[in-house]
Amino acid sequence: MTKYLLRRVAAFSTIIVLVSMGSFFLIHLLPGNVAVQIAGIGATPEYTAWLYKHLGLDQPIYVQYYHWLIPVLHGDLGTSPISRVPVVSTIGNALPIDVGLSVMSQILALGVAIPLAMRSARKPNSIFDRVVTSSSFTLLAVPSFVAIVLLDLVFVTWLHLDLLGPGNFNPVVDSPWMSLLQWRNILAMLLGSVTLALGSVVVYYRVMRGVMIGTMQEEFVTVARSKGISRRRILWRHVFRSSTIPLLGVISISIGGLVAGGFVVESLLGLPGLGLQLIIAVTTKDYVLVQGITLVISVIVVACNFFLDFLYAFIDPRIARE
Amino acid sequence: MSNETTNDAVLALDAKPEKKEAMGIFFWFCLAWIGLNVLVAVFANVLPVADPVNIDFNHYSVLSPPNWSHWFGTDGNSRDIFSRVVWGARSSLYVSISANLIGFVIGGSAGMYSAYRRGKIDLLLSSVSLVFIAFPALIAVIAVLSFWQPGSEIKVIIVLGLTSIPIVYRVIRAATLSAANQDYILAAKVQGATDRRILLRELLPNVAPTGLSFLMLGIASIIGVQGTLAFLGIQQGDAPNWGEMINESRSSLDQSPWLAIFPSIALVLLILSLNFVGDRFRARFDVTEVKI
Repeated sequence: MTKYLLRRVAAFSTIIVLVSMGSFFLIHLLPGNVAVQIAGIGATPEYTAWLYKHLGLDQPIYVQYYHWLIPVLHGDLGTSPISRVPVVSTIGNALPIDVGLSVMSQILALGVAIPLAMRSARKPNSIFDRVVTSSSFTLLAVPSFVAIVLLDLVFVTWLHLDLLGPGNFNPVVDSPWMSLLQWRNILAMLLGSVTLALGSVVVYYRVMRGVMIGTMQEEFVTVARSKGISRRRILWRHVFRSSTIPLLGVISISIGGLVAGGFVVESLLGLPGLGLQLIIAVTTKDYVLVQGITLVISVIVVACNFFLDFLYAFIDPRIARE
Repeated sequence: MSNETTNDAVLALDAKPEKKEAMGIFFWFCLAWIGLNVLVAVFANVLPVADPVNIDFNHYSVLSPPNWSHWFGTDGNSRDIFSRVVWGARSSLYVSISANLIGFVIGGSAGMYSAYRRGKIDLLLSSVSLVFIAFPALIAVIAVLSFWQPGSEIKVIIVLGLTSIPIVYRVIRAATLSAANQDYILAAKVQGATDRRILLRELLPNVAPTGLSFLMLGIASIIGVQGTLAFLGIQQGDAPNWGEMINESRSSLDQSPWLAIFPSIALVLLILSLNFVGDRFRARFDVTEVKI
């Protein structure tokens, strides 16, 4: 186990280093002059040249990376050349929204997927199972940007539930985490978290159903049944419990989907989270902010995956031995 | 692509090879739908549909609901939605098929080669691919395209194609590994067949079915990703695109919901058909686990 953990930590550190390089070099190695893009169309050549020097873009790329990396290691992601706001504070204000959206969506997804999967697994190939399984296949084909527009159309435009609509989120100044505790803001995030949940529900339902049907055929279930234990108790105590382990493995897969869906729902609902900030940074050519957000999101995703790996190996030590 | 892995992992659950049974009517319906989309995409410019981009000032009708002359209605610029949906198939299929070709040519051949050769090259390529898979691809795609402006179709193809390489590599490598351990490969080696011959004549035909089913799923997932990019305004251009149409529909959802509904249906049906056909192919041709 220790050896396994050490190997994972080594892999994790390597990936983090590569991710930091990726976030930095992706933008700097691209054709075109960042200074020209920031200066805009009407800028004088003198101003552009000054900006180029001022931003340190005339130095060799590895020197620039060094000048970026050292403060990053101290928790300073630089200051945006466009808005003059420190990147760390922009990210600090945006992050709670993403955390809120993800947590809400995962609660919804697990709350819907687990009962459906148990019902389906109890009688595979029943009408209920067939309907839910084929609907989940259909849902898999609905990208989150389509889902959010259709939800918006139905609930806001047609049913006039205006509180669910775009632009209702009011961040609490100075304490971004507090804004998650207000009813108004929770409602404003509801359609977004439903959209994110749709993607996860499909994954969780299909995994749980598959695993539970497999577990039902295990010998210990037959033994339990022959002892006269009720179906319900077998399902909960024997089958459900052992089927939750593979679920952990899939949650890490769905984190990628959460990130992708996050951009879409935040930009449509006007939720000032990291996704929306990245889109704004992209349109204003704010490369320092783009770098910062890319780095933070990537590190979070990679860290979540590794944490789930650890948890997985901790619960099921056979994995570490492989 | 994160989406690709999700779809793939989820669809894999259904891939229990059963005894050979009929593909079912829904399979043929999906295949026909894909065929129709391909035909319409190829012949969009010769089909008798209205001009999807330029405004027809002779029959000026802004935001008219679906009617006999405009089956899917018109948008805020008086452009025919039916024609734009038809042209959108071209954009989606062109981008996703081209991007997948990049991924399959580079990732697929690298995967086959390292699974056949094993050793250091396999170790190196496999570790590199794992690092890239850990990186959330959509972020990289958005970051690159935002500073590589304007985000034309060809740039989207290049970026999405390159990001799909690691996943294609892993799938093809796994498929090749199971084929490379079979006795007929050993027999070919004993007979003195060259590596080139073994790779192309013995391994490729056995990896192709898995590759084909994964290609279907890959095309489906890139259609979704490209739609997302267009929806976020990162892919731009004159060519009509479903994602962009859905994005534009947002400003007038209350008066003209058909602007969102028709491109959404087209997008979802195409992705669904590709997923279904790919999944069925896999179930039919997957000889790796149970049948041997």
